[in-house]
Amino acid sequence: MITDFRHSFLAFFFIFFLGSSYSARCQNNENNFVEYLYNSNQYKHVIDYLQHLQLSQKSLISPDSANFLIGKSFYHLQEHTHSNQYLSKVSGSLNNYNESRFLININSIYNEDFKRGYEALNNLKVEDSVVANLKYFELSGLALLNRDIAAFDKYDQNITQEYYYFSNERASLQNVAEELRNKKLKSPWVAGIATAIIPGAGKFYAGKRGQGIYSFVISMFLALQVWESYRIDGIESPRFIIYGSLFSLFHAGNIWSSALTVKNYNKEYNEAVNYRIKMDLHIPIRSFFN
Amino acid sequence: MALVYYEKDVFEASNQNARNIALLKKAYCYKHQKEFKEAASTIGRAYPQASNDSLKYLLGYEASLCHYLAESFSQAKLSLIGLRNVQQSAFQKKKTSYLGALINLEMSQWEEAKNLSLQISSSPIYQDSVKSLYTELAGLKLKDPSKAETLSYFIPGSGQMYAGKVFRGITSLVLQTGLLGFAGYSFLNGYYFSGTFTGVSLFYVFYMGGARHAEYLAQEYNKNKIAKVQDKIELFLLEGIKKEASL
Repeated sequence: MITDFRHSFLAFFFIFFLGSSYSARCQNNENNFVEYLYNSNQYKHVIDYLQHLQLSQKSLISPDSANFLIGKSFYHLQEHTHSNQYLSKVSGSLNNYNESRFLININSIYNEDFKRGYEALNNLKVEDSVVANLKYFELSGLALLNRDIAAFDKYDQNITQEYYYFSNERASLQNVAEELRNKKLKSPWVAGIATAIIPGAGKFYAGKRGQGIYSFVISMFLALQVWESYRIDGIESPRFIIYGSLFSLFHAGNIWSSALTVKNYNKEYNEAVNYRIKMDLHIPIRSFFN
Repeated sequence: MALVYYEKDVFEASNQNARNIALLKKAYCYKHQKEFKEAASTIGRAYPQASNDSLKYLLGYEASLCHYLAESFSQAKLSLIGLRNVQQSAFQKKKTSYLGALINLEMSQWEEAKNLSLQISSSPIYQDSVKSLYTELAGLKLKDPSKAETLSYFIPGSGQMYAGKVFRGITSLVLQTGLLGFAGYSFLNGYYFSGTFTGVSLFYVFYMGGARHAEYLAQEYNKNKIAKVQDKIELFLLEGIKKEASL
């Protein structure tokens, strides 16, 4: 009786041991496989596999780290909206919580959703001094994206120490801020009026010299023909009316397109500055978290 | 999802040969989904030296086929060249020749395509037909694009007519004569500015544009002609290989 009991106890212990080692091995396998997929840049497979495991509900990878990995894979595939969907599910208990917050910020700025990026970082409580400084650096960049230079100065002053992760980028952002302080954008009205007086002048003003000269020359050709028909046939002749309306149409189009060129010029300028800021915000995150 | 599990097989493969098989299966999956570029690069990860000849053949042939379907023809050709050292059965050799002929046709290398096409079947009827088809291809009367351009400089519109577009040629001729006429009429009546800027300059634009258009039309004409015969050859080769397969 006693021996029976002892045997069953031993068997029970043995089975328990076997079972736990089996599940540990599975988990190891899953983890290794996901790590392998991730390291060989097969991000689509990472997403598919982890989503599949999540659905089957037998996964041994914790939901938090699965969400984090899926989100990060979407981030690598530059699908920022999907990435944020998953990263925002990551709870504060995960080691990578800070990283997920910073990535949400990066995703959001590429989606032009600066407010969400700000929320992701502003609520973040950090103890580590590098991360805290990194947080202020990112917030200062967000302020620049919103063209709020006062806020930029405030966050920039909060950075207590230079770290090599972002010292270059910080200097670059300070340059951008200085540039924005001194920059005056061009006015479409000025361009339109300038072209109305001298054809093509508005394009010159917008920095498109070739286009300016071209429309000036064409306008002159048309104007000469109008003048000729006026001189020979008079003001009521069909020739004058045809050339006159052609010239007016062309002139009106010129005025409109000059204004549009300036608008585009401003837009391009803003986009170029934003692109630079986004790069400056992105690079430190890459180098710090990798 | 199957793709991921094949990738898992690749990951868990105990030796190179098993890994090659898993990669090949994964490539078949991609091919089935018509993602030929992915399929080709998946096979590119395999290491054929670790496998026997029949698997080597499959890897090389599928790599070439997927490159061909992904329209990267020089890559496809390269993969086929790699198959030369692999032992193949008679029918496998024929399949290789067939694929090689198709690739060379796409790359406009007629001579090589012809040689490969002849290897598909040895029946005399087939051989004769292939030869006559390639003679047809070589004997195509093509239009010289630079000749079309030069013609249009002499007589506006004639280049387009030479390239087979008579109506466009006439329109071009009428338009340009009209513009020149307008210019002359304006000059005679003292409208010098109108004559110059409307008549002459517009004429100049149409004159230069017309010549360039004639060149383009001749090129298009040639492309269409070649494509027609090429399609005929491809269809014929398909029939040939089907017959061989059923034997």
